[in-house]
Amino acid sequence: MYKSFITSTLACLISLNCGGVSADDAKSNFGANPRIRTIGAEAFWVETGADSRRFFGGSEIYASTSAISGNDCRFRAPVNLPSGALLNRIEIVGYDDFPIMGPIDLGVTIALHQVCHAGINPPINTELTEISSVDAPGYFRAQQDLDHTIDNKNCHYYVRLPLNSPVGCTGDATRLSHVRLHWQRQIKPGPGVATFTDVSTTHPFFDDIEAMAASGITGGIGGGLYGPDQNLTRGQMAAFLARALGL
Amino acid sequence: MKLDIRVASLIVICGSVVSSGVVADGVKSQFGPNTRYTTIGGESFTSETGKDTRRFFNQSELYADGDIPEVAFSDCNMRAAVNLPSGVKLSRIELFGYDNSDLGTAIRLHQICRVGNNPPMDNIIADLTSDIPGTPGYFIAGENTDHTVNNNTCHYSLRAFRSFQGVAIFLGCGGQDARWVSTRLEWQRQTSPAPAVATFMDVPQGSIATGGHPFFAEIEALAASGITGGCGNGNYCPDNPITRGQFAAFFARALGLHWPDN
Repeated sequence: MYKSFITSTLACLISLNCGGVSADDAKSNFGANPRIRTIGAEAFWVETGADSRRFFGGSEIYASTSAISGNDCRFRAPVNLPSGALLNRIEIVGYDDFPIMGPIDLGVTIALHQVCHAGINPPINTELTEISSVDAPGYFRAQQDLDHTIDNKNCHYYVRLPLNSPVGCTGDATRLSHVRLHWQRQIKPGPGVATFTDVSTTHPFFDDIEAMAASGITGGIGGGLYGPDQNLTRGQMAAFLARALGL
Repeated sequence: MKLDIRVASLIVICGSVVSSGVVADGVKSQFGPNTRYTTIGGESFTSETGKDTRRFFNQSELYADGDIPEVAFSDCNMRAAVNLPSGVKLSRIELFGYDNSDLGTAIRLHQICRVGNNPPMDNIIADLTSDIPGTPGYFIAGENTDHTVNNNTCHYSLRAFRSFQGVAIFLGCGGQDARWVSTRLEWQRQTSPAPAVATFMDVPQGSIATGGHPFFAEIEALAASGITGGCGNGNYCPDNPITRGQFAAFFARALGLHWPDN
């Protein structure tokens, strides 16, 4: 506790950036370390019927009690993460002060869905995880771990938010502030057969070099070779960078 | 001078190849430290509350329909999510639209941050209104900002509402007399500020004048992103040439390269 306080104070003094942005907050989307994507209330659309969306304090979504039916109190938002990334945690932040109804204590629930096309068959809609507010009352934070690799080729993703009870919408007693998705980039293990004769499946950079080839960034140096121990020239580096980033 | 003319001519030749009016600046990729733009159009906006009053003038200019019966004033406010890469610097925001000189449009960019188990913090990053009373017509309004995007604890939203005689108001729909064409965000990627203590012994902290390494900030950024662990024994070996194999490792980690699925 004490140590982390000193560290953050030092970081503030040294980076001359005391505006509340820490290194963690401003982390880029690149690199192998964990990343977080935050989805706010305005990303959510009403699922059906009358639009019961309201924004408490300008930023927390809730369902108006004057909506017609319970169906009108459900919302959804698209989830856009890079294909191949590992999604390992979902976290929700909100407010829950809904009275207990008999045996039921209603709160805020978010479900993460993956919908994959199945050709000429009905799509496969999988609920990857579901997470509910903790019994507060008050502001809460709840999280759930998962282990899912994003597939944007066949599937799309959405989060679904019911803010209703058996008797209709719950009003501003239950609200969602935002959803945080914890993810990180990963490199898929290489194939069984090597692409280049000088980069065998046991080469320390086998996975990395195969990934470069499979992504169209390199075709090797000719003759079925990659030349892993050759120095990279400035010209070759320019080619790799420009191709990879679509500069 | 002669060289300048040649360069300009070359640019003209390049530009004329793209007959659709797309210039190099307009189609710049999202990578590199140079200035980038993200333009947000009317279809990204969702009505803030109650009835959906969105209408599109000439199919592209967003306005709030004032003729819907029983519409509440707040039904004319709209909002859009803003998604910029974390860590980039937002340097300017511009609003393009149309106003009839008294009734205009306004845009506010909000940053909403989680504060543990407390109410979220709502900061206004920029506040733009269409121009002061004058000739009716299309307008451009802009404001410079100096904001580093934080996607870790915050999200961003654009709120659109009415203005009256150049002052932002939250009351009433403007109909076709006040329209939003688009909002343009100007941003740049930046390398994070260097830490106080060096990670590698052979890449010392500080400016070149004080004995620091010229690429200290960049090398620290690679280490902090999990892209490099150095060359062993607490060193990075900044002056060694890099092999093609090592470069592949850096690159695959940085981009999270994946196999295309068959």
